[in-house]
Amino acid sequence: MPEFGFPPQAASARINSVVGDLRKRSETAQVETVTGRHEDPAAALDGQVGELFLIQKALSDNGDYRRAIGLAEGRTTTMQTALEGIQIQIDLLLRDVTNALEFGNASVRETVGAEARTALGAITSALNMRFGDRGLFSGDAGDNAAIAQPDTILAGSLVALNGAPDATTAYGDLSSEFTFPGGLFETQIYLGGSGSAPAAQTAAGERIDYGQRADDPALRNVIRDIAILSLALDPASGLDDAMRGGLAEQALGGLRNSVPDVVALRSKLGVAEARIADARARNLAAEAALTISYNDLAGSDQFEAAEELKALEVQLQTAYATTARLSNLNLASYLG
Amino acid sequence: MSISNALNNAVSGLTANGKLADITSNNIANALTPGYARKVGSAQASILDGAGAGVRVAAVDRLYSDDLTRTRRTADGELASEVARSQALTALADLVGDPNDAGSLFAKYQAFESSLRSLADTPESGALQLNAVLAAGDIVGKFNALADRTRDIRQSAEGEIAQLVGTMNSNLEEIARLNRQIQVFKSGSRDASALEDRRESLVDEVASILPVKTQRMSDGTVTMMTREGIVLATTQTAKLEFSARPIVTPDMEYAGGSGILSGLTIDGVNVTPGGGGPQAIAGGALAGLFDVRDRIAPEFQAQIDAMAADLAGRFETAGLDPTTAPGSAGLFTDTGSPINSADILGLSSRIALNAAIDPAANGDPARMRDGLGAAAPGPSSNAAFPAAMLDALTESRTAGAIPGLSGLRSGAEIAAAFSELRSSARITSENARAALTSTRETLANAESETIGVDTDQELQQLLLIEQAYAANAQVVRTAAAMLDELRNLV
Repeated sequence: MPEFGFPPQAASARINSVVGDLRKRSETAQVETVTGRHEDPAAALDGQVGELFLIQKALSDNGDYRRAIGLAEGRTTTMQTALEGIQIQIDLLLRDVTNALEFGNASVRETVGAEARTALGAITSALNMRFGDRGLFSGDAGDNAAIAQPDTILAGSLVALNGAPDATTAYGDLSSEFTFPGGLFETQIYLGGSGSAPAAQTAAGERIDYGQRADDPALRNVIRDIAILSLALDPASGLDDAMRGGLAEQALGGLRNSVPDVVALRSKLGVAEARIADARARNLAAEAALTISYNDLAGSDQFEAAEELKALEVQLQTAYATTARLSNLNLASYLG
Repeated sequence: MSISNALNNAVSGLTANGKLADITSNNIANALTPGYARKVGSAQASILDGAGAGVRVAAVDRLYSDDLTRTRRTADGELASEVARSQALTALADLVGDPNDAGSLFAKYQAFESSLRSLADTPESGALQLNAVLAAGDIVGKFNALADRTRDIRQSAEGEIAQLVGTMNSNLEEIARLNRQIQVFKSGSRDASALEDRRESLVDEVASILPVKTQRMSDGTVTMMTREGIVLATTQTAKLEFSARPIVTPDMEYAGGSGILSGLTIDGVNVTPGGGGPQAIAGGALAGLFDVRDRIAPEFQAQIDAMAADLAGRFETAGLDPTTAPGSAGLFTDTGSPINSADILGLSSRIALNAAIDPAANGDPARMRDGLGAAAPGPSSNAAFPAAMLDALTESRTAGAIPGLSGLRSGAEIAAAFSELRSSARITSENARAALTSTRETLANAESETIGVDTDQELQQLLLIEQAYAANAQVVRTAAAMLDELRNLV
């Protein structure tokens, strides 16, 4: 008996296998067309997904650094604004106190004294400025205020000043209280921490330290001298009358000497701000480069995927059409 | 008398063609039955006292293609073995995760590192402290889940082995019974093709479980033995033995027979796949499942245990936390205790968060800033401890203690390398499975083309049978008419 034809079971198994493969590939092409990503990156990369993971991590780390940069920018801008305000207060006070001491009468001096007290309040507020949960000038004790209220500063200073025999000695005594460990400043006026606030990590291996504390020597001197001016120019302050004039003169000189130091603080902060701005630029460049690398590995060309989907669709239609036609080509269909 | 002889011959023709029609119709009915082989009736002239006496169907033969069938069964066994491995490797790789998976092990490491980085930048934030605790807890949860899944896979393999051994034993019994029955049928020249079909189907099932060699004997029986030469079934059977453990824990192993886990024997002969014995079977679903139980799952367990030890060890570094005594447990513990590097088997299921920072254990997340042993809150913006923990996690340390890894790597790099190992293993197995599937399909199709039913051929045969039947019926009518004529003469 001559052999001819093809067992239907074998034919069925063969076409099922082909159609199944076409359908699976169609589903993959569909997903890749829509998402632009490999449906199974492990299969697309033949299991070599380690590099893809690490690029993904680098992108995530870059995002962390960008957030840290944003926080640092906000904090430094606020600190710079505070220091600018302090510098303006100093400048105004220097002008007004100079005029009052040189040309003014008692009434003018009393007015300037009130101005000095207001300036002390403004400087205290500036140094107690917060950003989020952090006191910006409080060091590592960010939940504390940095500086005590003006009343506390003035009360403590008055005690230290009145104990001296003359203005020069009084100024020296108060300076010691503001300078040395355990003195008035460290025990009653400065409320922050002895450690520094954390530096900002702006890139792998790069930390930018922008922290400044209210117990910086420049700021100690400013607070000291403005406190003295507040007391010396106020006849009702309780300060010994014999020392007023001399103390005011010495405080004015001290305040004038503080200006370059405050400018230096602002410059140092400015340098940190510039480094942070530079870090942001590098961060954005890194983001772009990493995104390209990631897409090269993980991405699939959506247009190519769409073309493949179309081709598979045609193949499936052909498979179905030929199956239907061939299924009629059997002897049973032609026997009566 | 010659007219009566003609009548008898025609009747034998009707009978024989009826039988052939029966065979043909059975072939057509089973055209799509998997494993069905075409039956062919052998017509033979009958001889009585040296003279022709019509026709009979001497035998109904089942078609065989021994070479193709043997090769296809080998492919079945290899595929079944790879399927068992592939399923386990895919399940494990899926749980480890890929770059698209937000819940992958790597993503957990990445999130934890990111949370420490954020906390080091803003240590005063209670939300970030809690976030770091939750991220650490997520890693712990992931390790626990990986350990649970590994245990489940191993337990499942143990159960499936037991099930397949049961199936094998019952199939062998049935094959032996069919052998005996076919032997009787053949000796009585009866049609045993349906019994042979059933037997071949059972042999196919056995071959996918355990590779076998078969030999058809002249009496119709089939001798079946392992490729290593152990007889499984003739008219009697061998017995496979396996004792399944109700629970399989990470410390249990086969260890060449000296461990707690059972091996596989056939009538007392050790044939455990991968067991190293001289008659250890290779191939088939059983070999795949033993590989899962004794190599794949334990290897994965060792990897995740070593990774857990690496992670915990980074946070137990001397001097990292000045608020705790040297040797104290760090951020990650072994059920509350410091890690014992000499006892890390199963650590991935035991690893836990230090209770000092775990809100679920009345811990305080603020200790992520102040130190695990801090009795009171420290300076709110002190980032020394979070920064130290971040440095510990990102420090490049030797990864050689983790099976399959080497070099100096940070915590996240270890997670990435491990994920790549598992992905590669899964892809390799999937590729092997696809290739074996394709080979098996090709062989099955070739076998089907050789011994399967072609309906066109059967219908053509039926046409001829119909014609022959009609011819024999005409002979009967003619002989009867002739006999009637004779009667009318009388």
